[in-house]
Amino acid sequence: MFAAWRLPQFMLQALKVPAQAHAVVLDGQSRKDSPKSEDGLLLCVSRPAEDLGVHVGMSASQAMARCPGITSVYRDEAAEKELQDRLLKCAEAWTADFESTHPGLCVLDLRRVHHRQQPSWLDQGLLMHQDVREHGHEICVGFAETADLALLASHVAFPVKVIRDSMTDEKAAFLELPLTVLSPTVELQHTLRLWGIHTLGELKALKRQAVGERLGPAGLALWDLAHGGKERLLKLVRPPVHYRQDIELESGIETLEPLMHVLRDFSQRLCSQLSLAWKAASSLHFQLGFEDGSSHAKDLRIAEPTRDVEVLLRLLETHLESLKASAPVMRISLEITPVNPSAAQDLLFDRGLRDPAKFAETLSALEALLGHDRAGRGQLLPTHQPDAFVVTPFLEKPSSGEQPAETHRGLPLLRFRPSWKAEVQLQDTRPVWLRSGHLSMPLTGCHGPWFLSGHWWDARHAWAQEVWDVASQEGGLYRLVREKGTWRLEGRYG
Amino acid sequence: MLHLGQQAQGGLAWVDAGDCLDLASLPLELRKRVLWLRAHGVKDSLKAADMLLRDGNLRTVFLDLRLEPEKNLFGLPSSIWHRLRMLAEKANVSVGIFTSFQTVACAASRWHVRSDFDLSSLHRDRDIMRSALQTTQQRSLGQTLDFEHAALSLPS
Repeated sequence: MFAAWRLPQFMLQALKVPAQAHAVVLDGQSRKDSPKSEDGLLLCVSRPAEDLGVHVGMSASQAMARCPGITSVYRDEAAEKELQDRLLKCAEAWTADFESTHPGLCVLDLRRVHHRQQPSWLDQGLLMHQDVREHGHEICVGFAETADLALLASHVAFPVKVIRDSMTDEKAAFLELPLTVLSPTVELQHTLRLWGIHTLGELKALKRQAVGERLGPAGLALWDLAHGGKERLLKLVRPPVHYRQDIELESGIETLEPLMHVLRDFSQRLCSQLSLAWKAASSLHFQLGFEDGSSHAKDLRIAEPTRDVEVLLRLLETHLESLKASAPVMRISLEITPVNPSAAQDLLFDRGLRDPAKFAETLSALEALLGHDRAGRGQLLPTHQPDAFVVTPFLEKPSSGEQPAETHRGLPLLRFRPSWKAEVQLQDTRPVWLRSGHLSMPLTGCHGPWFLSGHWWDARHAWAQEVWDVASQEGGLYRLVREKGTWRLEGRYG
Repeated sequence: MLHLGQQAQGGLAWVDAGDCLDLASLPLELRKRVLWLRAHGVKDSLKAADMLLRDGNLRTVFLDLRLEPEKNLFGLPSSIWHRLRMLAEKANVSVGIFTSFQTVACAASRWHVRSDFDLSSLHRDRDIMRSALQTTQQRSLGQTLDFEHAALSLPS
């Protein structure tokens, strides 16, 4: 048997609006300084308001015309998520196998749930209703032999309805249900509305083959649902598993050896958990808390997913060897990001590495030698500002959004970082002499100026440059930039 | 350097002693497979190159010392270059060292590249400009040579 839980007026229940109130939920966000919009569309309508002719899809002003004293509130997605989580928690208390394909909707598979004194399904439904009511919410519970039929039953349940195959009279109640209970696509709903089909009964009256010919597989699926659906597997809700170990120490750790001992223990436990789930570690998130309240966190990417404790420990040890702490370690936490071993190697390049674990270790050591943003893959930022880039970890997949620059023309630039301060002599507004660092030379030619600017909408980050390409007498080509009246030598071409 | 980088197979480490690599000058395809190491001078860059050669996972390593002044490089003992060569041979890694003057005595191949570009080159096609480079191979497999217009390539 399957049980379907439906929270009627889910959005209103999330906002804790009493069921007997004349209330509607509006699309949009509430603002303190502006009144509620009269054009806002209604997303949810309370039952007393529905009785007065207000329905979903109307504008707020239309609702006000039909029900003058109506209360309108804006949607609160955080509250909806909270309510959904509560609903799933309640469902979890009844069975481990349940699905939730829509907010406020939950289908429980009760076929494997055994009770010592098996009460009737109706009594169980009332218990479920009571259970959720204790949390301050109303549900309708439908029972049936299939999940889809149970869902339909929940729409005619006040508060509990049990449908069995033999109950043909009870099933007749479904005929009056609107098509929206089957959650058809907007296009399909629009087409059926044009055909004058608004209820399940009207859809059921059509021939399956005719529906299939005109509406395709989506239409057939809807027709099947209207007939109570087929036996299907539930899309089970499974809580995310965290591969994490942490410890609070009574006395602080001051040296690497005892710290590695704890980390070895953590790694062994996590790797055995991973092997049970047929997973491998793709990255490590490692955090240390120190006695003086400071902390250190680091993400370590693993070149090739592994469950090898020694590989993970080598990676951690390489990083820790370069770490200097001001106080003893009091808290240690290690978390592993799991991946399926077969699906993890999506980089063609990763496979080409001779020893991926050793490479990850070398990268970690290079980062310790040069600094965390000085070893990796250079990536240009989506801006016209010259030399705007970030260095991303080399083992991460390169960003696919980067636009290829026109790099088949011109000489490459040898960039001076930071750029050199320069003195430039002008003649007829064009540079004729350059003095910068050890360079002092007459200029034989120049191209420019090119004006570049950006972030003009933000006074703090606004920038504007005047760029010149100049040629010196001895044949060197340079890039000169004037910014806020100051000349700088950006680099040398070639 | 860009041409050699594009020719190199697989991953490429670009040890940038002067932090002078302009990413916008690199073709996107090359940029994606370059491990860029922004060193703080010759000492750091030699350490980084040493680590990469001991690791041996990347098949090509560029050591860019073009902005380093003469006095920084001539002060280095020649044993450093010998050790790098030995490590490169052992790990089967191609190493290209780029300097503004002759520095590495034990190089397997040495090239002298001269250019004579003017401002109009800044808009010319790179392939055309590459063919206009004056390259002289001064050394090959340890033998001293001096002939013009040989094709520039990495030692393997």
